[in-house]
Amino acid sequence: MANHVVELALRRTVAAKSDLYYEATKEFGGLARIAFAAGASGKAQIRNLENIANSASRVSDILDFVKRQSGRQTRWLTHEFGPLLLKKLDNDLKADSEQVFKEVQTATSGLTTSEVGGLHEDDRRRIHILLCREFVRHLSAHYLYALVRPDSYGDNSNESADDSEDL
Amino acid sequence: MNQQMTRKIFKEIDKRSYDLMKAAERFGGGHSILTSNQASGLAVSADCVDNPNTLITHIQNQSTKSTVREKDRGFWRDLKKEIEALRGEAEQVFVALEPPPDTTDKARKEAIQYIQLLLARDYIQHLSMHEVYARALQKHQEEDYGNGA
Repeated sequence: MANHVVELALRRTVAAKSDLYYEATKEFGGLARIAFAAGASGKAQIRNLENIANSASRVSDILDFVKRQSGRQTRWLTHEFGPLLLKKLDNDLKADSEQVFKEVQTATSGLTTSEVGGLHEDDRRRIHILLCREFVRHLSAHYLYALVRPDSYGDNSNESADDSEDL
Repeated sequence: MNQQMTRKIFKEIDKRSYDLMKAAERFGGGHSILTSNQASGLAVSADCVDNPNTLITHIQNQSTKSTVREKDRGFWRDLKKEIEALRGEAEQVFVALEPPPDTTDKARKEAIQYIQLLLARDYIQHLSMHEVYARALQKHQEEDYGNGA
């Protein structure tokens, strides 16, 4: 793990990137609501995804979870929710993690290596996981909100999901 | 093997997990013959064995089964090669662990075998998930196409 000065810069840059995920995760929250609307286990699915993202020490475990659920429950494939989420977490967030890595490297380049310790190669992987966690956290919040306010997510049917009462 | 060494091994495998997943995806994309149950069965087999050679023998046995179609034998033969090739990666991991200079040959060999087994489990886990996903996606797309036609 990087020195605390670098760690702070890293967390700040990840937080700034996280703010930019609002619109994308809103779209995914709406998609999840449509995908899981027919059953009562949608919340459990998203909660499991969030738990995996928070506990996994590698991105591949999160991706494996999405693959497994998409393979076993066709609802994950409704409106391409699973495949789109996979693409986002794998390709897009990996590209973002490279960008964050470079930004942090630039921001901390004035500090000498011996003083700060600098970024490690393994931090690329850690940044990717942190971004996945942020993304899934936003997605989960949007999904839960979409259950009670579908109109905010481009659905004007004004019908909330069956299981919205026990939120 | 002490606890600290084991922790270091797991960390090194975590670092390589993404690349292993990509390799498994490439392999799965080129073969894709497993059903969902077979994929899960393969992952369970990998988790149960305590030695990479046992796993390799299991895979080899699959390729020689009389019930396996000729065109599917290539999958098992290639998978065997993939798992065997992880030996080289296991040796790299072992070097990255910076073992003490007085490590005996026996300890070195055991550690590399253990690392190869962990890498193989990880690889097969990713391959299994990829197969389950690819099958379902293919089926879903065919149904969509069928409904649209």
